Amino acid sequence: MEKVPGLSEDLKEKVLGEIRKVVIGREREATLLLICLFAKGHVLLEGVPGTSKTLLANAFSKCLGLQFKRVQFTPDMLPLDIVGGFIFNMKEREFEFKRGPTFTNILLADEINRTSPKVQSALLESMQELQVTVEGHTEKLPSPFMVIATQNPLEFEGVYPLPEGQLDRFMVRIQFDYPDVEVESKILKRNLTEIDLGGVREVMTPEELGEVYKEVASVKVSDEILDYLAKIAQETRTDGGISLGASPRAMVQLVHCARAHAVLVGRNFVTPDDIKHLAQSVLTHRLRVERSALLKGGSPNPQAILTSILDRVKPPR
Amino acid sequence: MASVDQTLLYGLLFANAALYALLILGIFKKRGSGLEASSVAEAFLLLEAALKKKFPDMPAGFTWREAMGRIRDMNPRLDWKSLEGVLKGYEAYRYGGFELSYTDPGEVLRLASVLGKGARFVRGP
Repeated sequence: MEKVPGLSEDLKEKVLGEIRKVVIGREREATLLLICLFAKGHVLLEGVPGTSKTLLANAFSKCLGLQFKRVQFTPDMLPLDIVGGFIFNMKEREFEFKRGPTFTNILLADEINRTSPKVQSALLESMQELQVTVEGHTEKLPSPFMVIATQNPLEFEGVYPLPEGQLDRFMVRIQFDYPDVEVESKILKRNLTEIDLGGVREVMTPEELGEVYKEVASVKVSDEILDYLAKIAQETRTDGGISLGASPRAMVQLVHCARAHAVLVGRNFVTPDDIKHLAQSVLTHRLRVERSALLKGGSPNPQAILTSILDRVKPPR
Repeated sequence: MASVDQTLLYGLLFANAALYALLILGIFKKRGSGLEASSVAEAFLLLEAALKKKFPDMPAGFTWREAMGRIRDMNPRLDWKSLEGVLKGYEAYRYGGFELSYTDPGEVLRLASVLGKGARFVRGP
């Protein structure tokens, strides 16, 4: 059996080690961030305020050695605050394009659902096509480009739910639950002294990231695994409890994530376990529960519906 | 007369011993003849059948790792290190298109056996 080089595993340990300096008990979430970076996707961090979403995103960005910008989304923002726009240069007496904060490697879109749908949509092109078009002028974004967005649960006041099209562009949604007693105690102890993000070192170079991309691209996905994925997709579209199933884009992103996960655990082929391990994080934010099914006693929880789908679709064995 | 009785007694004892030996042999043969596998891949098919019999509630979507986890919870006395190696090799063969690194399905059959099915290794051609 061919063994992949240990670069990704090594990088994972280094990145998690740096993150642990400031964030406690979020290894799973940090690993998902890394998977998403290696799979060239965007991440949505969701949870109630104060569960270290922004801190984790900051620490993660800090140890990557990539250009990083943060935007705090507010209801009064305009699209040009994100992607940029044309401003008149008095000296040259002409309009010139001023790049917005999107022109970076890692964009932290903090509280993305606090801004209007118009501004949220301004990110669509950037996220999917890795470019920005303003008034017919198109500019490519730097590579890699990753959006790490945070959002509060929809039940909160003053939030605009992200439209389906926008949600579909997030490769992974990571849900931040409250920590358990043991972890919370450690967090309290850790916070007795000031948290210093300056202590987080850069442990990855762009060249190393380029090597990891090559590793991920070389991971094999058998036809049987692809058939397995297609069956899962079909089930999400025909299940009576779901009104909007997984899109082809969602399944493509699940494959990419599975490949990145395989590399992180030192394999160069995808197994059904990779798929099952990541399906919840990649698919549930795109599924819409059928309301009429709720009246018949169906589950209101897309996670539970997906679990039941994964339970009944036979993987290649 | 006494020697005839003795011969008869020895004869009966021998017949008795032979009968018991055949009986025991029969039991062992019956136990071992349930399943045979000529390759690791075949042994995994037998293991799948054994798993379904042992855990009827196991969902159709189970993976080998999930199944192994469940068996592990039963805490059977098995060489888990060796089994892990066999499983890794089988996954590489099954999903990665590599040659089977383990050719002896003995461990997998032993596992199937633990689950209540008789199994023995028959060397392939």
